Amino acid sequence: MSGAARERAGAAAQPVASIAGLALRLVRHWWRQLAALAAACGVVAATISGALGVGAAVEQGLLRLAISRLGRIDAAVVGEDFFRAALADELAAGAEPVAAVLVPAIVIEAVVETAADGRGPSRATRAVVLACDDIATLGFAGNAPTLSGDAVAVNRPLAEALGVDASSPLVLRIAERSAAPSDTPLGRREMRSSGRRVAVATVLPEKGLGQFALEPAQVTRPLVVAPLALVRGLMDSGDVANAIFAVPRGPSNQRAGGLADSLRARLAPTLADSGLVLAEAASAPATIRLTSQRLILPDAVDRAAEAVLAPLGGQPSLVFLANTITTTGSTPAATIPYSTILGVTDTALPVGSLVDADGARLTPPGPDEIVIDQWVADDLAAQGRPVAVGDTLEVAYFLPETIHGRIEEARVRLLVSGIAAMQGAAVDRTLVPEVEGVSDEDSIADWDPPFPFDASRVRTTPPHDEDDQYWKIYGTTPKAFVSLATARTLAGSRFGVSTAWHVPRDRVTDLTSLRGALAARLEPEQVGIKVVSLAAEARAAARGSTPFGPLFLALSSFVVVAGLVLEWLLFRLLVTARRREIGVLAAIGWPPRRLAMLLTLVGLVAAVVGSFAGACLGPLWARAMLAALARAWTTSVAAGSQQVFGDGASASRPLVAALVASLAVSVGALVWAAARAARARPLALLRGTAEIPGGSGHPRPWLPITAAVGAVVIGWLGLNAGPERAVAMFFLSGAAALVAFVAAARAAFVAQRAVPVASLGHLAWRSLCGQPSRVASVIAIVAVAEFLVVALSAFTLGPPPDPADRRSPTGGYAAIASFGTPVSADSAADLEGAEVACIRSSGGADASCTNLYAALRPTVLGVGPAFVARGGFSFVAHRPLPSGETNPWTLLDPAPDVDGPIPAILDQATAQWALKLGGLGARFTVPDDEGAAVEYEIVGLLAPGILQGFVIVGERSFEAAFPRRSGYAFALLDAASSTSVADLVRQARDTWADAGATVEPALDRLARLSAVQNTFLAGFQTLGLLGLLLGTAGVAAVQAQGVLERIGQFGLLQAVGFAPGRVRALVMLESVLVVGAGLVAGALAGMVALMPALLSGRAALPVGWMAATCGLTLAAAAAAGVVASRRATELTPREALRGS
Amino acid sequence: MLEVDRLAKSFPTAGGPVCVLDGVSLRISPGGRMAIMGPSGSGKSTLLAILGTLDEPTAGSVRLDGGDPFALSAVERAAFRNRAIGFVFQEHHLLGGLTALDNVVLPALATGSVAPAVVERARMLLERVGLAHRLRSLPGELSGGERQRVAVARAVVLGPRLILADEPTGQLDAANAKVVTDLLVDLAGEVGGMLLVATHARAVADRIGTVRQLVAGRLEP
Repeated sequence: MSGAARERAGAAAQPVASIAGLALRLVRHWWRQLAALAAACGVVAATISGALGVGAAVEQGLLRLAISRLGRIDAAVVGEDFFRAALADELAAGAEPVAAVLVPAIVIEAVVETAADGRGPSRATRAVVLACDDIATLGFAGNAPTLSGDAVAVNRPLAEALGVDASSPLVLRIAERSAAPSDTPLGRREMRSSGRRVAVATVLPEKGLGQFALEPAQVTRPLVVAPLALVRGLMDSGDVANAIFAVPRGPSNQRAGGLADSLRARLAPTLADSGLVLAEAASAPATIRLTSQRLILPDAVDRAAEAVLAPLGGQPSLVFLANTITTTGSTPAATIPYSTILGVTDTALPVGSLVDADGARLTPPGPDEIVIDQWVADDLAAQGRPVAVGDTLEVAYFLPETIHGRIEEARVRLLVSGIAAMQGAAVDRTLVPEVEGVSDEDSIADWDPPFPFDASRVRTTPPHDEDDQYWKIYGTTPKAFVSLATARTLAGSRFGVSTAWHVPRDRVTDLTSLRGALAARLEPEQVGIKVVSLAAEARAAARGSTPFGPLFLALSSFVVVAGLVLEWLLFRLLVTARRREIGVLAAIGWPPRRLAMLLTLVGLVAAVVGSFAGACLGPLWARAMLAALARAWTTSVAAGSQQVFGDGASASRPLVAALVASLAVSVGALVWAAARAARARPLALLRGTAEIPGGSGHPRPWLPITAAVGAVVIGWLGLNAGPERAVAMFFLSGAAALVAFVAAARAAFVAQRAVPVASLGHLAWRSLCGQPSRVASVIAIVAVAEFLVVALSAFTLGPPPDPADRRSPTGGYAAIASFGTPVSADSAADLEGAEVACIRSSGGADASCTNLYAALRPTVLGVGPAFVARGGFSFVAHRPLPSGETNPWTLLDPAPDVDGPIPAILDQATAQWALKLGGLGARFTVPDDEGAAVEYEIVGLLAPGILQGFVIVGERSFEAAFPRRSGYAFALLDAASSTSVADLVRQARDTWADAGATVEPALDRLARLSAVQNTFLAGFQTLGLLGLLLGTAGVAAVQAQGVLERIGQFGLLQAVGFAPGRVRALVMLESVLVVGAGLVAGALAGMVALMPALLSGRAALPVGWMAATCGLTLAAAAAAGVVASRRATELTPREALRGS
Repeated sequence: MLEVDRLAKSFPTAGGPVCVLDGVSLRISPGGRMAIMGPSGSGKSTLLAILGTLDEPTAGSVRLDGGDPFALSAVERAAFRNRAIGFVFQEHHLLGGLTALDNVVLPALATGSVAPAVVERARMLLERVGLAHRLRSLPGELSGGERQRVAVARAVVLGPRLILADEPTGQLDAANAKVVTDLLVDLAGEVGGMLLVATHARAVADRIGTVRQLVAGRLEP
């Protein structure tokens, strides 16, 4: 006995005593075939592990980035407006100390420009300004900058964008806010900004503080960190803040959101924090007056005042401006310009009553009635048109809300019900709140109001200086009074229906307590102050909009499928090679199930070893995919995204899951193959003539025809199906076509024995006819790969052929703009030759595919009637339109008097994938500004285009859902034919510079959005191609084994005179023939599935990809044939004939 | 007792069915032996495959101790084969990765773990066939005669009622052929099983005892 034999014999000292022991012995003996099987299992495991690794790494990258951008900030109190910085101290105070350090700050957007240096300034819009005096406490990694005076720190992206470095001067511009909502006549619509020259003290690296952002985003925004005093000085404000950051003391061990809950429970903003003033008014008799810095009291404040002030005799009032009060009837009419009219509930007001000349209190004006004061009566009489009780006056006034950005005037005729003597309430200046640019002017001639003001109407020049005289004596005191109901009908708006509350001073014993009682009635959210769980929201958003794990698993599906088919093929090959030994077992009475178990156990060893090795290699595979993804994303979608994809370490986290998953699929394939092998007839196995049952050994002539008919029918149904069904139909039709063409190709390999073999190709074909199962397997594997590559390559997105076409993905718009500070609609008037669709925006997260973070609160856009009437964009589906209507955008007009969900239109990808809402008719909610859920219903789904990522509703619906939102934060620009897009974009940036406008050509945005789909498609194509090559490599392995089995045949061919080269050519031809049949079947199936998309122009035949994949695969198949054929000719004919 | 009655077997071909066995009838008493001789293609191997339930007859019946194995399901038939039949093939059909001892105990693994008694019996059988020193050898390390002796031991390890040997000496020299034939006869006698041998070799047939000729699918008297 040789040494080696003795060693083996020693290892096998005991006979096998169990099926497992026997399996292990067989593994040792069959290791060559099992090594190939293990390699296939390894490919499957590496692919699954890699795909899941990509998902885990992206999620970890998103989380790491989102958390690092917050430093140690866990939660924050944020305000729509500014509140007292002292609120932070009040929050921290209390019997139980809050478990966090509270740091007041200001976070606003600004425009940053380089100081003029003769070349014109460089400008960065929508830069984030973080003003904070205690940066170190926020716990960002690295050293916190120490800033004072005019010194600021900028982050690297901003420094690079502007080309500045430390010590460079910059100009910081902050938009001035309008006190009153800009959608009201008293709101300011033109943009103003305050600028200040600052010095860059340090440039922050793009990590930690340098990435600060409250909203998670994978791209670092330009950032300026400044001292609080600098920004407060720029805003000309006192000790205010609009954010209080909560940084946990010590290690953060609170449950998610715990600190935020604690802050919510403690948060008690005062009236001052809410922009409200409850103070003693200089009236006689003395009164307490409640007013708002925004002029109009929000409804929530009105409700609180009703509860707290009304019991004390408090009365609301609503003042509005009458542009003219004009006599009616005889002409020329007498007119009084620019008067205030007050809506009251009674003529007995806390500030005094309205009385007639005799001192008797006037009857409160009824509906459509007006009480004028004696001054008005006298003035009209002086103009020759005296009025008396019972006469009618016409009042011209501005509608309380702008109509799609335009201020419009309306007129109403009111009956004079009384004339108030100039005493009591008629002369009280405190009835009307102060209005910036109006009530603070010395002369009415100096008015600088935000509404259209015709100074020529005002009488300011003696002897006719009546208006100026009134102004000097009475200021903004109302000249007329109507009922509160009438005033609210004329001047009430979504912003509120009262401008002040008036309480008799003598009914108030403790003003401070009253302020507290009123403030306690208001929820912080109702006055625009809320607590945000920043860290918890960051974690939630980091779960991502796109499930990268499943996505890459889908993208890698073919590699997995190819690997599984390969496993199956190799296992069958193993069984074929060992069929005599298996036949012995069957002959001596091993039942099929036990035989299958033995074969499975043998395969399991290979599967475990291979899967473990593959799963361990998965992270390397993941790193390669992440690198490719980072490169593609950074280049085409969003620069600066690479950090999200850079966390290769996390790619190994799902190793166990990947191992289990890959083992499950591999073992499944092996069990199936083993069960089929064990069913072979023992005698056939023993004789070596068994064709292992493969399920495709028997041609079924009906199959190709039936499947082809099915493919055509399903494809036709897909033409008219909704989006979700269309996707299913596409794949169903493709699968049926695939079955049809694979079956047809398989049927072509049936030998025609009557025809003698006449050529080498014919001989190759006849050889293949003798291996039906193997041929069917190879055709199937190659066809599936080619089908997927061809079918999906057709959906690569390119620029639209005619971007000016309104049905194109740009909607015919040339550019798209968003604003840090909402603008008024008339601000677009300066843009020459452009039609601008100003669109309201709720703010919130970008739900487009370019944002890797989950959009927890998607942006809602409110489009006006002009946008709706213009139409544009393509719909993939929409609700039925009324008869005669062809414009689906009209579906956004809510049905009158229906209190249902708000109709919304979304891009199909946003609805289905990013927000996961579903299709047409799906209902969903988006929180409003107070956090309450507002329900929406999808009435239309847009084809891919520049409106991806938004929930689009009608403007009226938007105003109902977001009543506090004023102005337009979004715009679509339609260029005139004579204006170039570049000029339009430049012009728009200049026009809206103070509003922090970001203006982008529509085609650029479209290219970024398309790049996402194209990146994923490219990934699929690459992985598909890889799978195709893997499949071909598997074919090579199978071919090589097949050659070994047929070695006697090749010996015979050589014995009868075939030259070795001709034998090699035969083997190569066999490879090419079978792979070529698979390619043809797959390509044809892809074309059938694509037919609806090709006919509708949504896809184009990917000729390049078809040529590339077919060429590469055939070349690989030929190479595989060459390798295999070397085995066929390396033995002498005699050796081969003896089966050596 | 083995009772074969008018057994027929034909195979479909493109040119019509080909009859391999045509009304074969035979009977072997318990402990009896029979040799079937005949030229190549006469149907000897087919007859043995059917008797061993590796193939099914087209017509006729097979009864072993009164039972019809073809009335059993596939699983029951496998168990029957394991319990009642012992095979020796022209080729040894030993499993390459297993030792001689492993190969002998293999039938016991068909229904469960190998009991120590089976292992002991396998050792005894290998000693009996003169391979006590080869227990741990792999098939590749054995000569042709040794391999066939292992195959014989494997055939009788579970004490079958019927031992079927299809050209058991077809690849052996005369000396080895005699050894294997003697072993077959002796071991069949020791386990009390019937022995049916298909062979070309007159010497082998004579050693078996009763000899029947199979010509063109028919068994001659």
